[in-house]
Amino acid sequence: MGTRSTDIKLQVILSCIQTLGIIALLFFLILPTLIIIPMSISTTAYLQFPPQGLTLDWYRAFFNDPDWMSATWFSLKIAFATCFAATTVGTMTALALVRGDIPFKGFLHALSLAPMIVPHIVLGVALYLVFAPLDLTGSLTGFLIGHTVLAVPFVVITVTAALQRVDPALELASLNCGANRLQTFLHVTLPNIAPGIFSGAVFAFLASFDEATVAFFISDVDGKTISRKMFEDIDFNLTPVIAAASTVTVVASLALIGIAQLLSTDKETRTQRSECP
Amino acid sequence: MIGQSLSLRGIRKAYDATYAVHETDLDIGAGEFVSIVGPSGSGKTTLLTMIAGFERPTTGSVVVGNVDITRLAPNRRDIGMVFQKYALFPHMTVRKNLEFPLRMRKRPRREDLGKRVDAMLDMVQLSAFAHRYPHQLSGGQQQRVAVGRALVFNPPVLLMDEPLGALDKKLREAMQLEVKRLQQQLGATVVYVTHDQEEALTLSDRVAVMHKGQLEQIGSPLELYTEPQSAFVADFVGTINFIPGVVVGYECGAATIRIASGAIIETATTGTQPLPVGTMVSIAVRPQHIGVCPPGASGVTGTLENLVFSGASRTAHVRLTDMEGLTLRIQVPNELAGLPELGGMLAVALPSDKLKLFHAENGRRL
Amino acid sequence: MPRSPIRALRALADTGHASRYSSLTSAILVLPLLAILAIGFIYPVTELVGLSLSNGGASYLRLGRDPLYLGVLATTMATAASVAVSCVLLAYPVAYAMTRLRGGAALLAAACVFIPLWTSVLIRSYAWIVLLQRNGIVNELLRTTGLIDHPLKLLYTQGAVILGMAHILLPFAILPIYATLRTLPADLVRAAANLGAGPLRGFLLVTLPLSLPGVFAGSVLCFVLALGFYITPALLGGPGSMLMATLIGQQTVVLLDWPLAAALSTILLTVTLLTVFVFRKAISLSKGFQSVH
Repeated sequence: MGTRSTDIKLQVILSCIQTLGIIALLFFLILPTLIIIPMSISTTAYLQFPPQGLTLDWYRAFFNDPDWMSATWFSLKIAFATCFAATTVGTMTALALVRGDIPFKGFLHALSLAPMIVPHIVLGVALYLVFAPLDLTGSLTGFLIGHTVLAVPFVVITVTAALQRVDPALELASLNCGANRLQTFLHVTLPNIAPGIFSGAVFAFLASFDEATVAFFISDVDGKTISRKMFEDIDFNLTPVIAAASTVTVVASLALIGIAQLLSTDKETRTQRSECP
Repeated sequence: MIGQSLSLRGIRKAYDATYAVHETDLDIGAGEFVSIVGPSGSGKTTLLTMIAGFERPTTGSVVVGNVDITRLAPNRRDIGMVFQKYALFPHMTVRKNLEFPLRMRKRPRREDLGKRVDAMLDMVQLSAFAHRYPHQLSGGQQQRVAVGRALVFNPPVLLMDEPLGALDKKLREAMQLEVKRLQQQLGATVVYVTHDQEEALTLSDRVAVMHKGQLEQIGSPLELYTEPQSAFVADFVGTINFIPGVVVGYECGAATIRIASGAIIETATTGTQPLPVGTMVSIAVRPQHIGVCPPGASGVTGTLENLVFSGASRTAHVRLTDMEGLTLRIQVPNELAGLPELGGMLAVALPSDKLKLFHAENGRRL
Repeated sequence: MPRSPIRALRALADTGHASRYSSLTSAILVLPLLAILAIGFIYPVTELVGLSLSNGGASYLRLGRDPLYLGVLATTMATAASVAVSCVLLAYPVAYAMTRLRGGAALLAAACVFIPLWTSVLIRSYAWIVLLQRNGIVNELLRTTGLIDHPLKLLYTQGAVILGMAHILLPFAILPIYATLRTLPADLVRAAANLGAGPLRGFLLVTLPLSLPGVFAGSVLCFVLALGFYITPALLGGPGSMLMATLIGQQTVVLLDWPLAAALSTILLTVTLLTVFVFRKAISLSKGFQSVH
């Protein structure tokens, strides 16, 4: 009996240590994202505990600074254009990879994902090398090309996964019902992969908006993205305006992701349940 | 709806160098219910997909009524199909699913479309569920939506690919009756693919047995059971025992076979050609045609290994003496007395008019 | 044999099976991808490799002669390896806990893993600057608890670079490990318990060995991504902690020695691609990853 109760005590202590360890790890993961919020509303230039006072000055500074604003608008323009281009290209690629009849499928799949693995600095330097003589640095076209390359893999991954979840028999059934190829795609395939396309588009948007390495190399004085602007400011004058800009970016990104998640989980439960009656 | 005839003429399907379906001819009459049965990989589904137009036959043609549809795209064929897992459109309600084939064909006109769908919903008893999504329905209801969607545009031929495979046994039996009722009510021509021989025998006017891409035999359920043309069909339809042996004598349609234990068995043959002495054969006999008697009465003896009660009768498992472990399943009436204890010896009687002879190598009926 | 062009087209449009798009359709579908990759990826990288080979490969000779450059390559590999190992060690307990948690706790854990993943690398690196600088939170905390008298130099060190990169790549280790752990049948652990293995032995002899593919995938992924990291070492590292990426940055931005930068880039690219090729099976297994920077 005695050994048994010490055993149980030991187990309780062990599981307490485990729980605390996990909480510490999760805190470690989330801490750097959360720390920017108090930083952005603290009156002092350096974050202190307890914060000296609260202010929205840094946000005001961010929204009133023409440099920050032009960088933000430029980033948004690039991100929207990239999102559209990458979603179109990536969805077409995924259709060919999953449903198509093409040689070298494995190679094409690897190629479409390669920009994810290749060091971004290499791509940044390479793009600068090619863009500089053509005067494409700091231009929407230049960024659109570079960021579409980087964003396509996200769309390929999400749409490929969505397509693989759609039973090919659905498309056969549609043909059998008299729908032609195009009608089948529009009425049957597209509605069923729409959540995948949508989350791919969100990832593509963020991949462009948050991208810093390639943007560092192909920005110029007149055309810089918000991440390039942030990088410069971190390097030269570490003001809490950066924290305000970061907070705005993070909150907007998370809201976007949240909407995408809500939409896709709603659709997914529907298709999943219909798969196993 | 009036069903039309369906003919497959010399149809073949090759993938690279191997044949999924060897040259096959099949004529199905208008309003006939024909099942295609066979184990998985026997080519039955390939045959169905060629009729539906999802795959082109390598050679041969598909004819519905008098029209050759071999080169027609699947969406222009007007053939109804019920898919294995129903393939209901998950993003559409039951009503939208049923409307889909009508909308795609742009017929009938708007006002008639609603009426047609209502009538079909009524027929498959789903009027109350028209606004539900497929995932909100039970398996049996989903199955009925699939049938409704396949029939709503009055196709001349209805294909069904293992439509009941996903249902549990009780529901499956109920749905079998339902399918049969709908087919008779509409006079539909149905091609029904299943791996369940019992289901095929229950539902069909005729059954086609596929094996390794070949159509082994087509006939009424009774024909297949009583006069199987190959060892495969004999084995696939119902239960049967095979005893290997070698021909030692032949005389006017009667062969004398010696089996491994040395015993001699007399059988009748169907062929007119004399059987050469030395031909390796398989003797097939149904469990209910074997008699049991005390040892000594016949040349073939065995040990009673097991006695399994199965309702109307019992099945005795008898391991034959000196036959390398070959065990016969014999149907024994419940009231039969005088069986030995388990492990005891008995003799089995093989009535020569009930035995069927098959070639040991190619499985052909002899 | 198709005779007319129309027939030839029709033969191309004819598929083996109706569930597949024809070769023609498929070719049209992949064309935009090939075009954008050709313009924005393959051509620039080819130009870069070409530049590195100009002057008869003089840049490579310079790199080979100077031990400084080889040292940087070695430091990069070592840093990437320590990042990968730290990631896996920290990721395993989190992934394991995620398979056990239910309800609100599971949601909270998932949020803690995914929110950083969707936050820009730049912002997370910036946050680490705020935390680690001379009068940052970590130093303040250590001072108020009385552990130190004078602030420690935490920022602009090799340690800061490894910490920042490990933090940023941690989700990429968690997700593949979580994916393999989740697919392990719960019955296996129950069977081990039924056969007499205690919780610890059940874990060590059943769960851990079966989750190793995920561990391996996670570590390879972290290693490969860490090799090419630029933003984090550029912001958190000091002059003493030069990596391949920061060296390339320095050569292009400060010294403007493009042929040398091209040669360094080519080496970094080759090392990365070789690692990916050798461990391609492990990487393809880590399908859980969603976001790479």
